[in-house]
Amino acid sequence: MAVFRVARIDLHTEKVTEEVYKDDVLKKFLGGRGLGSYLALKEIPKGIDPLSPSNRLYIFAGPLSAMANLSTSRVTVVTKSPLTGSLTHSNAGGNFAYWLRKSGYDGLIIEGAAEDPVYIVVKDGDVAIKPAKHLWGKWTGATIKALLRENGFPEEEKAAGAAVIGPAGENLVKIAGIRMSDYERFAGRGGVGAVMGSKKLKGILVWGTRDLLKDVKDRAKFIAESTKLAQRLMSGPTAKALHIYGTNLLTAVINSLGAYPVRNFETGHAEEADKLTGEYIKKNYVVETHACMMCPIACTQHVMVKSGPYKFVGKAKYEYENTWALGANVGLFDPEADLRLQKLANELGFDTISLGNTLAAAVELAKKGKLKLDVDWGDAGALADLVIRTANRSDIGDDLAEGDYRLSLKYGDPSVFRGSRGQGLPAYDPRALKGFALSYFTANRGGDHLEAYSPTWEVLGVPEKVDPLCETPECIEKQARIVIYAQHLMALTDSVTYCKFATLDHEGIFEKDLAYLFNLAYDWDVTPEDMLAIGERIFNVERLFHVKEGKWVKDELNPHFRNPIPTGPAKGHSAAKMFDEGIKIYYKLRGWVDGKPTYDVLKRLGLEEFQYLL
Amino acid sequence: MKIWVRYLATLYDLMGTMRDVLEVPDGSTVMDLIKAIDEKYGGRLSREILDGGRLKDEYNILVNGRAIDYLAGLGTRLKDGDEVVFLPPVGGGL
Ligand code: SF4
Repeated sequence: MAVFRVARIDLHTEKVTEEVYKDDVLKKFLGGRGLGSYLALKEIPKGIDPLSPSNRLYIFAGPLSAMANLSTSRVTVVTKSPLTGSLTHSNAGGNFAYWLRKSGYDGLIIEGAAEDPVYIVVKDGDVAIKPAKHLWGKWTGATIKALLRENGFPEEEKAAGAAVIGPAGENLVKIAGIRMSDYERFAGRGGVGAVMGSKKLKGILVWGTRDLLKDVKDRAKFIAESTKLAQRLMSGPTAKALHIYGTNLLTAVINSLGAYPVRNFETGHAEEADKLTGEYIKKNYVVETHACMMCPIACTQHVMVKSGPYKFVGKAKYEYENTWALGANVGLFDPEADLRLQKLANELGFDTISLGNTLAAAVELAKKGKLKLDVDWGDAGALADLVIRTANRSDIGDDLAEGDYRLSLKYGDPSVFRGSRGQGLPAYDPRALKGFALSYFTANRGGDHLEAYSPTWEVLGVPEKVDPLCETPECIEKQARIVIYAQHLMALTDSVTYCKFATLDHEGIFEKDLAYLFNLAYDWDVTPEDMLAIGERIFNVERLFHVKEGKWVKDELNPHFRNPIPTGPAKGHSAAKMFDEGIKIYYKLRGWVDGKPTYDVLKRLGLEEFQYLL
Repeated sequence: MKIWVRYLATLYDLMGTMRDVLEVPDGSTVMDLIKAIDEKYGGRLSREILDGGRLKDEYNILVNGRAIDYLAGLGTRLKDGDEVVFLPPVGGGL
């Protein structure tokens, strides 16, 4: 039997209650994103301001987190997003999930708000709320160090799990993330950092000695079997390539396909992107490779810029998305300026993707004469200045702090917003990788590439090959089918929990392996189909949150992507046909009407308790 | 005719350069290009990516952004100014 322990912490009353979820609930939703979304749908009152004390933060590991060496130290944050105004979920690696579970709890629910800044310490089952006035205003790296020091740990992020906000979160910047140890990991998207800021919660420190395999039926067998799976996972070519180059392996590949967004998605190819590639940065700036706890892939690359105008102190964690968001998408192709912006964003506590979207929207508005701002594409100095102003909400930064969607509305040109459901898009142009024409715009949290990552099949051929530019009826049907499969599998990765990068090779970890591991660990009797049904249930619960809010229910293609890409290898391609025809098939396959689940679907998934929402 | 070539990730390590330009006779195919690259680099490329004259499963090649799987494979004909990208070994190919 699996048991999931949650500490519910009310920051207003400082009351802590323990809740235990058992097989009846876990077999339906697992933990992480699944259990978080289920509770959010039940508990978060309709129509509340996401930055009011009545919002809740669900910070959840999953029932297999940190138990096997299969990239399982992942944690998901679920809340009502101040950026999109509806449900969001955001996932981080590092060691937080590991230490959270070791502390005696599998999840934390934070509700209410403190009067003055506080931080939470969970040590071996004891929850303490401590003053944090002296930490308010501090950057994220310094905050983690202070939390460790003040609680008797060495100042190394591996010593305990930490989740903190920087000035961006404190100032309720709607594109603020939560930084997690170890090192510069982020639950970035959806403005989850601002929710933490609204609760006056500067940080959370978790540590403990709980035996995570205590409930496992046959410990030796579980370890032996998961080790076998880890070996298989590491025999995959993508896992190996990720280890060498990290995620930024993608810049050259995606640019070669003509799917690399440049200057706020103006086009999909940049001749000048060579110095932003993983190949170039590895050779010139990477100082070490790093891993999240319990991960054999170890994809993370740490960089340093030691001299010149963009030098910074210490190391930075850098990724493909960040490099694009604060590089090509803002027309910046100087790797040192780009890496420094990434470091700055991590220290101030931003979601780097949305920060890049917002800066790009601001530059485009300025160039169109709609926003009075002296900034141009690639202007590193002006961009860094805007980043700081945004974190502090000073003058024009106050508008940028509202995010790209609201910025574009305020300055009278909604067309500069390149996203969905109020959140900007990541580093792939859906006109050149057409799976994204469906996956981006059906993603529940909006502006999202991780609810169904179409390069998995369009670039890597997993689970089957799909031509990224094909628009025949067969290809459209195939895309709709695979997007749905991937949306269910990705809901599982965020709820089990394990890393999506373990699903990029045929040798990776899929529903069959998950069913095997759960049966082995908890004496469950689930099939691979049952696992996918859990994914489907989670996806429907999230959609029901939109239904409850009356917001973002119908899926819509952002109009910009109806225009053909003007240059590059995918020149002339648009996302219109794939979306317009694919969405009909998608709804049919899901049993939805206009983006809304039907009673039959709820019944099939055992979600009748929510039929009142229909 | 002139062909613009790129080697990515581990192939960049293998070849020691990311960008390359090769002169090949008109009407050459991707396979002819690989032979020309082999002449320049002592057979390094085909030893890595080919197996008995076939492209190994985990590799793929783009011609102007299109995977050769969706063109005519190694027999895809090139024209002057084409860009050919040798992708790193990933997943199930492209
Ligand atoms: S693959 Fe990378 S991001 Fe995923 S868990 Fe491993 S180190 Fe972390």
